[in-house]
Amino acid sequence: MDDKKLILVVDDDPDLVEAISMKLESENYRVSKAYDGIQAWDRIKQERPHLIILDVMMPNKNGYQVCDELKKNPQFSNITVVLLTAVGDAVTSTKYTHMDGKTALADEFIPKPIDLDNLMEIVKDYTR
Amino acid sequence: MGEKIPMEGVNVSPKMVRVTVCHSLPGGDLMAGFLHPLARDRINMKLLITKEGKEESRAFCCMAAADGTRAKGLIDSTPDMAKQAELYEPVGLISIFPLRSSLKAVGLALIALGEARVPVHGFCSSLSALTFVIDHDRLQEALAAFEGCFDFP
Repeated sequence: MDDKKLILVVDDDPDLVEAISMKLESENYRVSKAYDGIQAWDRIKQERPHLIILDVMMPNKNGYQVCDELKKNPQFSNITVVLLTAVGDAVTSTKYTHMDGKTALADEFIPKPIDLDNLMEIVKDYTR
Repeated sequence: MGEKIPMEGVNVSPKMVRVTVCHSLPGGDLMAGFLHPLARDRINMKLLITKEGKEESRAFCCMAAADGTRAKGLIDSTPDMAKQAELYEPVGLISIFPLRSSLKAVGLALIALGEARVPVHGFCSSLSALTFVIDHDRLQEALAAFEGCFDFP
């Protein structure tokens, strides 16, 4: 059995998914990838990751919805969720607000553009 | 047709504006004259391709259709830029991923678009994606062409 921790990376930007995945793999994690909320749920059910790095703005099902459903489901509620948020000054066109973030049940929030080193520290903290 | 290359996904953009600027100034000056005002006005570019030759520099970018008018205003108010800038719309972006540095995938995609007679305005690769700029109303044809040579989930 492979004892490397499995991290699910979910974002509709394939370049960001790849960048985060490369960094995680270099830190000895296993990585699974999804590009929208529905794919994310498929991966969660099939692979049961240790931690999910989840973008907010995605097609089909956004990150807040995925996080909300996951945290309300006793079967999966103990999976750590790190939400990648893009609200306020950084992204003027977003329809999401800080209030959405406050009501989400994610374990951590990281604003975009993300600091990969900061993200890795958070991942390490939650997977020790 | 050989075996299809597996891909993890394909993204298709909404309507976008293609802005092309051609300038006899060196690339750095083109950047200052064109791209900095866009950045200052917080106009987000989905894609940017630049080329610097001996006699001219070119920048080619795509932005949301809603930002086209603002961009045109900025270009028109920049000395020497208005007469050299060209706006074209609507274009769309179609991206397949992950490319995995596969030149075969690039070749197959170009052949597929060529056989479907879909004109390509430009293309580029990034860390994961291979992106083509085409006319927005040809996106579905491009998608159908790609389905002939790539396997999508």
